[in-house]
Amino acid sequence: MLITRNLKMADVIHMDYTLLPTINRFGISLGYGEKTVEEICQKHGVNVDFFLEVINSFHDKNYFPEKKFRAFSLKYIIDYLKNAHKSYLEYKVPKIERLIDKLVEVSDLKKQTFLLLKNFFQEYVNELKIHIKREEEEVYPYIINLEKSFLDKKIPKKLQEKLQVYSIGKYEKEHDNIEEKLFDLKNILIKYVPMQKNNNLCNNILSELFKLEEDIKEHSEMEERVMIPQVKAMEKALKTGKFDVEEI
Amino acid sequence: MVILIAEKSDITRTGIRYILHELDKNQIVKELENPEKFRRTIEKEKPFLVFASADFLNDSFFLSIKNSKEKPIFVGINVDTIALSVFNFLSETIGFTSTKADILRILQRFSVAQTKEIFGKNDNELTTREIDVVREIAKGLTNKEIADKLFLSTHTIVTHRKNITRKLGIKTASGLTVYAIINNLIEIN
Ligand SMILES: [Fe+2]
Ligand SMILES: [Fe+2]
Repeated sequence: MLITRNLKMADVIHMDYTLLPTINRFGISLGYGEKTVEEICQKHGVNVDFFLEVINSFHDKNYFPEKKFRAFSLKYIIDYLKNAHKSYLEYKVPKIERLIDKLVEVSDLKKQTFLLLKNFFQEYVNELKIHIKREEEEVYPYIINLEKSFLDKKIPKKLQEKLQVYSIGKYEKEHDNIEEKLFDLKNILIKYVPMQKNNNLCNNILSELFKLEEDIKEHSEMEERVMIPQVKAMEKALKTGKFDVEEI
Repeated sequence: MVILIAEKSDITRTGIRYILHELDKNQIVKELENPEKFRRTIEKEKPFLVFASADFLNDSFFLSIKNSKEKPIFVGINVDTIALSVFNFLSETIGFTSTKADILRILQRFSVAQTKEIFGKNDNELTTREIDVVREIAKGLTNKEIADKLFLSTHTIVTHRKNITRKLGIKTASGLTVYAIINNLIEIN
C-alpha cells in the first residue's frame, strides 16, 4: 500500500517503522502528534511530493518512479543524498564498527578470524569514504552549478569551459558498486565464520549489514537512474542552447 | 508456465492477478472461483504455481493428487485457521497484509527452484582447481599471473573466478582472501 499525504505520520510509522531513519534524513524527528504527512512536511519546509516518493520507494522495494523523481529539482535530490551520506558515515557505519569491535573483544578462540573481518570492513569503509568525498566535493557542486545555469538559461564562461572537458558521463562510468564488499562480508558471516556462542552479536551485525546494503542500493539508484539522466539532459540543453526539455 | 488463482472472492483474485501482471505482464494467469472444479482445472491447465484459499484446500484434495506426476507448488491465501495436515502441503502462504514484494519473493523462490532442477545436483563445492585459484587470488596475484603460474590461459582463470564467485557468493579479491584464511588455504603473515 502506498503512503499518501493525508495519512497521519504516526500511522505511517505503525505501518512501517523501518522508515524512521529515512524520515529523519529530511530533518523530521518523532513527536508527530495527530498531524498528517503533509502537515508535518509543511512544518519542516520539506517538499511533500518528493518526501512521499522517497518514502514509498523505501517502503515498497519494487516502487521506484524514476520519471516522477526526475521532475524534482536536483537540489532536493542532492540535499537528500548528502543527508544519506551523513547518516552512513556518522551513524550506520560506526554502529557496525562498534559491533565488530565487540565481537573481537568477547571472542577468545576465533580472535584472528574476527580481526580479519574487522580489517575487511575497515577497507570497505575507506572505499566508501573516498566514494562519498568525490561526490560531495566534485560531482554534486558541478551539478548544482549546472542546474542553476540551466534554470537561468545562461552559461557563465567558466562553466562553458568546464563543459568542454568534463561531463557527467565520466562520473557515470566510474561510479562503482560500493555495496560489493558488503555483499561479501555478509556471505562470509553467514557461511564461513565458525560460530560458537556469539550468536546475538553476529545476528546484529548481519542485520545491520543487510540494512546498510539495502539503503546504499537505493541511494545508488537515485544517483544513477534519477540524477545522472537529469544532468545529461541539462548538459545537452546547455551545449545546444535548446532549453525546452520536456522529455528527460 | 501457468499460475492459477483459486479463490472465491473476486476482490482477492483480482488483486493477486493485478500484482502478478505488474511483476510480469506476460505471465499467464488463470482464475478459478468454484472449488468443485479445482482438481479438474489443475489437470487441465497444469499450473506450476497455485494460489488457493482455504475453501479449496482439504485433506481429500491433497490425497487425490498425491500420486500425480506434475504436482504444482501451493501457496495458501489467508489460511490462518486451516488444519495442520493441510497446511503441511503448502510451500508458502500469503494474507491480507502481504505486499507485492512478498509475491515477488515467492515467484523468485520457485522460479529458481525450477532452474535448479534442470541443472541437477548441488555443485556448490569448490573443485581442487578452483581452490588453487582462490589461493593465488588471496595472495594478491592478478589473473594473468595466476594463469602463468598454473599453466592455464587467462580466459580459463576468468571462468574459474566466475564459478568461484557463484559458488561462494564472494565477489571481491579481499573477500576471497578472508575466505582463504578462514579455511586455512593460506597462512597469515
Ligand atoms: Fe552517494
Ligand atoms: Fe554514489
